[in-house]
Amino acid sequence: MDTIKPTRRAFLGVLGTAALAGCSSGLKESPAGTSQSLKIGYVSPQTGPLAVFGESNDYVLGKVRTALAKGLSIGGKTYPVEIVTKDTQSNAARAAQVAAELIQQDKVDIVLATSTPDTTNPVSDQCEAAQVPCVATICPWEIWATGRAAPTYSYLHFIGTQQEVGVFAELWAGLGTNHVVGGLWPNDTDGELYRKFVTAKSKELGWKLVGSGAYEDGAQDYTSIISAFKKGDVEILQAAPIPPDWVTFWRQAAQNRFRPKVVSVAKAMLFPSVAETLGELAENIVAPVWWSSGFPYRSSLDGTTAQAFADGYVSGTGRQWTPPMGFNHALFEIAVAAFKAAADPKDRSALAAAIGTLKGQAISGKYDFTAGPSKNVSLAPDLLGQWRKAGSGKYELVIVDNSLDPAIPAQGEVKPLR
Amino acid sequence: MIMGLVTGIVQGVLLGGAYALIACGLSLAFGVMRLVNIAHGDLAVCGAYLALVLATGLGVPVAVTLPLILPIAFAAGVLLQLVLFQRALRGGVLAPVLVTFGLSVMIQNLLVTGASADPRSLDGGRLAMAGFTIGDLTLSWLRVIGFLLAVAVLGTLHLLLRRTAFGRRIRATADDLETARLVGIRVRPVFACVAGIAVATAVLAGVYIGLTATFDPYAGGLTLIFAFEAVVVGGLGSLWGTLLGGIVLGVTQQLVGLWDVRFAVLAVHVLFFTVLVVRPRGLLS
Repeated sequence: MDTIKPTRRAFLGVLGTAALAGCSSGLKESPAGTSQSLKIGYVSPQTGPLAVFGESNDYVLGKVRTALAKGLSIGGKTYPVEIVTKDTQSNAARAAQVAAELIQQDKVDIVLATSTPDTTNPVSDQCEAAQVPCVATICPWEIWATGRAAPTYSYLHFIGTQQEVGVFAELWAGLGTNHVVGGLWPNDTDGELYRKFVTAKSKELGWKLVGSGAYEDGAQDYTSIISAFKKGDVEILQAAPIPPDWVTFWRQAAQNRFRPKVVSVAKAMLFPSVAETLGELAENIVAPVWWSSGFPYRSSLDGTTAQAFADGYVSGTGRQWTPPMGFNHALFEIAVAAFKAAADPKDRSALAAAIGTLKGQAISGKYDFTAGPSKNVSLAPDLLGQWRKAGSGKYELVIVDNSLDPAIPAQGEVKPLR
Repeated sequence: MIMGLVTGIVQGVLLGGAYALIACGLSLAFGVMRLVNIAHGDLAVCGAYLALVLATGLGVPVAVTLPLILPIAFAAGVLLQLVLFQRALRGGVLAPVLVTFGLSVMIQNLLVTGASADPRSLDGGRLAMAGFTIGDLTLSWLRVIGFLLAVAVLGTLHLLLRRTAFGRRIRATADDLETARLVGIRVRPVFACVAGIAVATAVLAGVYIGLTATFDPYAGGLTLIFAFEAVVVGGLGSLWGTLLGGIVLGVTQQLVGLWDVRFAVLAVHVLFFTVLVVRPRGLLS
């Protein structure tokens, strides 16, 4: 017992101090909460398996904070802007929890959520429940909009999978193939979505489809799938795996001599780090491009061009730019536009209603919440690129298809793998 | 159809070799010390990172780094045994599991901090991408090498245990710790060596995983599950049983995958479960 007593006492002491600290910080905070500053909450995965989506956060937030340092003047009044960031640890439950913290403790005026359905959906749900405006991005709108009640307070600006499959199909049709499509689709939300839309598309075109079956994410062996693709004489491969699985699959495909004429990979080939890992095998893999340094758009906050924005990151960190940078920056631009459009930026329902009227341009391109494919959705155009080795020795995504937004210049021609 | 089956079985056997390679250190540690090392997969992942750092740092092929990495791994194993496992083993059945679980969490978080969560892979050069054809069968050189490596490691361990004085001491200790002590075997260095060998094989397997697939700081968990199942299916503590267990898992995964890939991994877990219920001692034990 003697050894336990001090621990218990110490524990109670700590508890008491913590309670006191909690009270005093509450007392300190409450006047700030009612003051006329605008608070933006930002939820993204910064650690865990999805950390690659958030790796440019510091740079993006730095740029936004500099641009908003003087505050926002709305209706003759200047509001200081404060940004509170939260990490989801790549976990949906944690995302919901930090969103609740932002709403209840930090009392933010708007919540921004980014990167994968595991972030956007739980955060949007929390905001709907608490009636706090929310803008989300980097989640195909079909996943965000289906299975939830019609949103009032939450909005999404991103591409859609059905649209993307359409663009893929046009690219395939332009190349001479035997019209046999192989589908590598895992047993997850993205996999299901691509299976649904590619199956429908190939039926519409009268093409043959060889599906992989819904394998589990994290599988280490793909030889049976590769055998099936070889047996079916697949010349077009469409895949939506998680990044590590794609590297494993594509290496095993090379070892087992499966080489289709065109390979389009959603999700896994977004990031230059994956292309670097694959090395030569990455050459000419087709991937969707929703943002690139080649976009002819500027930040609506300070006029920075997409190129300068990406270059600043590259020179500051020594890493290659990543697509989420553009859309994460655009979230803040949309939030600022909403503050300006709202009758009273501190009125939550007025602010939420204001987002629905927005139509403008951000560093990521045009957004339009008035005419989306679903309620509260703004559809972004989806372009296609091919990974190619640049003069610098690094792999870069070269835009080869700009049919959905011809204002963005194409940077090369489509090349088949063989 | 017949060809499909043959392909499935051959690929399954080769895949099983890879599972056995990962599992043999686990099997050894359990067989001799009754240590269930939850951090085994994470130690393997550490090995892959070490190979990555050395290969890129020195600008040499991955295989060249092995003579450097394996002694480091052996030393790390000895150190872990002396500092950590030895104390944990004295604390009853549950303590080693909890201690190694804690070690696993620590390794994962240290790796995330040090190396970020990006999936990495080791560059095996031309050989890693090459395959060869026998009749209608296309096989990957890397898989064949992995299988041969597993057989070589298990064979060496077998000879070490059966044919040397050191092996006799290990077996005596494994059979009856107290009696071994009574007849004058110094148990501590024996255990330290076994832990060193176990970690060295884990690291070797980690480098192999790095060549065939990708790894990230969290990859150890999945690696451990398959290794653990290979050990249990084959028979706890039996080295050749571990190879057999790996092959049974690999062939099951391949054949079920031919039928429907959705159930391939599930089938492996169901098989594991069935063996636990019907023959909890494993196939060879």
